Amino acid sequence: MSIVRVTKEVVFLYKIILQLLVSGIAMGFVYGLVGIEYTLIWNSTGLLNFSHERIIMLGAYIFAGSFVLQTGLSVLPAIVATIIAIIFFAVFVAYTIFIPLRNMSALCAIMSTVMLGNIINESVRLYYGPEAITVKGFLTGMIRIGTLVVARAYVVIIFVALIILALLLLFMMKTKTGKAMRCVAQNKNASSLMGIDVQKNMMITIAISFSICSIIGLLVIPLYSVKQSMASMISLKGFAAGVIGGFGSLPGAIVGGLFIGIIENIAGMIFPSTFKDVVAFVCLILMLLLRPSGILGKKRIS
Amino acid sequence: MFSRKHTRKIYAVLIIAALAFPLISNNTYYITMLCLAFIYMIVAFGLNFITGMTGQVNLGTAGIFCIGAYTSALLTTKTFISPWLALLVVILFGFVIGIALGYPSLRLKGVYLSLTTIAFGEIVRQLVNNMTDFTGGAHGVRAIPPYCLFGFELNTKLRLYYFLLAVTIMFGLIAYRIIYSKWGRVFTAIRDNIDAVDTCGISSSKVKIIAFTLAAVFAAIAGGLYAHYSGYINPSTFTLNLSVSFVVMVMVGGSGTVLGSVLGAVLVSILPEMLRFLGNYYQIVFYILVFICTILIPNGIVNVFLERQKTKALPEKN
Amino acid sequence: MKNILRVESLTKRFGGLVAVNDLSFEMEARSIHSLIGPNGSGKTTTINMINGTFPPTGGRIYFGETDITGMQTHKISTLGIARTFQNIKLFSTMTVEENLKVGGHSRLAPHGVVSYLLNPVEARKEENKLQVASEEIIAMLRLEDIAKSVVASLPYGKLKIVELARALMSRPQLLLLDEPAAGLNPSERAEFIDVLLKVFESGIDLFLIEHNMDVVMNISDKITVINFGSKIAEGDSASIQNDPEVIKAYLGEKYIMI
Repeated sequence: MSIVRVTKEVVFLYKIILQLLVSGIAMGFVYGLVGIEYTLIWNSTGLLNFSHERIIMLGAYIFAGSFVLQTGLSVLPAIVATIIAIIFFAVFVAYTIFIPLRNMSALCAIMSTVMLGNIINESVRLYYGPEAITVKGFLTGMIRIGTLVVARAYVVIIFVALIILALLLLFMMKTKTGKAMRCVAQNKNASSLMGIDVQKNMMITIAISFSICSIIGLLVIPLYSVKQSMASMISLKGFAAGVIGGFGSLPGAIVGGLFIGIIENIAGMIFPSTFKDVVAFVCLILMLLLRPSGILGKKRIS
Repeated sequence: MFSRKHTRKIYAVLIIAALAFPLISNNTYYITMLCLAFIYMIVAFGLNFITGMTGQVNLGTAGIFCIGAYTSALLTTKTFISPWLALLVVILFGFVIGIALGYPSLRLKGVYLSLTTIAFGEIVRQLVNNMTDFTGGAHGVRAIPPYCLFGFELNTKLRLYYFLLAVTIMFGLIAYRIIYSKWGRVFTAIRDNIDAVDTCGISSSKVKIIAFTLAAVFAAIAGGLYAHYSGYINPSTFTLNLSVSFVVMVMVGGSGTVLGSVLGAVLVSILPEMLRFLGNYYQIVFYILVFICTILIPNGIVNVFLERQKTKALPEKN
Repeated sequence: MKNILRVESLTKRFGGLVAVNDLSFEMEARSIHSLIGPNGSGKTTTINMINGTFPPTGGRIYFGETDITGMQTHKISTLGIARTFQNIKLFSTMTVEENLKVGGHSRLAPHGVVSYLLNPVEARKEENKLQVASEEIIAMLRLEDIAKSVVASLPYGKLKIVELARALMSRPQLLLLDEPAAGLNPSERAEFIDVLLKVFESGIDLFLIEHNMDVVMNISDKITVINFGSKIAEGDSASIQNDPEVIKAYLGEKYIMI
């Protein structure tokens, strides 16, 4: 009798851990994507894009507010339309703000991206109104895998994140533009001497980064719904992910993201769940104390 | 264009104006606004060392301000000690935070400080919000006693105004002395060329930690003052937005000068109020104005008029 | 003779690239020692390791009797090694005088910020000491007319001298000069050599990196030549000028005269 009960409990615990692991990995990929999205811009322009939280939010609003609710597009065309709209926005921001700003001091660069974020935020509030928007039935529900029941959103996040990573890897390794992007990340002067159009390259990088932002925005709609503060936590944890994985490294961002995602879910089981959001930032500060170059980071050659 | 001698006259005029203001106007609303501006000025004086002078972006000031406010509020409401004694604890906390947060992020070169300070601000806000039994959670702390000075309770607007003015002038003087000293020189040297600072036999990371700790102590003290000034605090005040506002004060006002911090604090606390006539659009107009200032006059308004900044810093590219 | 600087089998690798390979040399006290070599031969890497910009991969560096291998830059500087940079590193928004005062900060004004605030008398004394020292050096290098100018507004030739002046403020025993003549026209170069000799006479030993031959040959007591990170010759200027390895490194195989 008692043995049966114990095994039942063990199975139950095992299931919980597995479920936490799945949600941890899913959130980890979200943080990792955020890490990648800002690292791309950092490597290309040397700017830390503090407006990324608002870009993620903007993506979700354009999708939900403009395309699904106002024009009544179905989900897939709406996603495509959102990404196209965000790319136009990215090109505009790249040429008017990011590219002219890249030679300014760190202080000005950071503050102007923060202000850009605030302006976007206010514009969204004025245009879409302060209330949260819900998209009915978008990525909601549960999926049963074997005996495991997990939220559909998590499965979709993992799936989409893997596709984005694969595409990004292919793009960076195989295409001429991707190779040029890697060159620009390493040395802007040398790249421009080799005939790479650095400004165009930055523009493309920013467009890719913003599209990733908008996809993140779509993916987290079922978790946070479409509201102005929807991306504040993931954007901050994405920063932490980048540093923990190794600042400036794309694989590092994913590793750091997964690290945070899994750790905070496990910590949420041990500590009161209200402290779950603190874990990522404590990890960040510990990491800087113990191993400032991050999990995958190498020491930079100056 | 005016020089340092002229700025002394400007300080004198400003102080006299501030002393006379309540006598001329008895609009309590403006007096309240100015009280808040004085508290912000103290934060800006401190932040100026690390962000204005060494050029390291600190986006966690709200967290330190919050710790200062809660420490003083909780000590005085729970243990009933004098606010002055609590202030000593606040100073100690500011010092400890400065070193504990500055050490991991400032011994490295790069943008780590911006990231860790954001993280720190977020940790503080989350903890204050969630440790309901201890901090009162979202309800905040009520009935914080005012400071007492020579047997007078500083509980009227006017008394508070003059008290805060005096404290602000004191911290302004301290800031002024540091800016125009060997420390001010070394802080600026770090922004200009950090490698050269080390070759001069000065540990650049130590200097950055000193600047950051000064900023933390100033912010913590201002937080303590804020708690007793407003009598009620809750976590929704101490957001990332507040941290950003502090940086804006230093930047838009004029980095590296006391006058800039004064101007910045007054602008940031009063300008949004003056734009209220724009209705729903006042915030976006304010942000756009700040954005334009950031790009067009990155050294701030005051430095446009100061002689020594005429030659712009050459960007150091390696 | 006593050594002021001794480098033992110093090696630096950047990933797969060996920038400095098993380099050893000794520099005598009261001498001017030059390290020369073609572009990319590892000169600046060597000076960066001596100065503590980055630690060597292998080998040791002694300053007098002190092992300074892998020490932090600011510690090495306070021990008595100052340096200048190939691409001048000055505090560009500050005046010449202020630049010099930062140079003297650690030697003349070591008090912390709290003691500065609490003890105005001591603070005043420190500032006076800095003022006197900077005026002394400004007079020695004849910079009086630009002492109050902001650095960003000065011509290149002057900046070189200002950087040298700042290095002197720490009153070093040894001064490392990274390409001091680079970018100077012939008359400026002659002026700069005069200044260097004056500095040497004031009791500071000089360690130069150069690829400008006339500077090196005229003033060096001893020359070490490196190529691809390894030492290929060492001696006084006459012997270096006739060394076939050196000529080969600089001009190529076919210019060797038999």
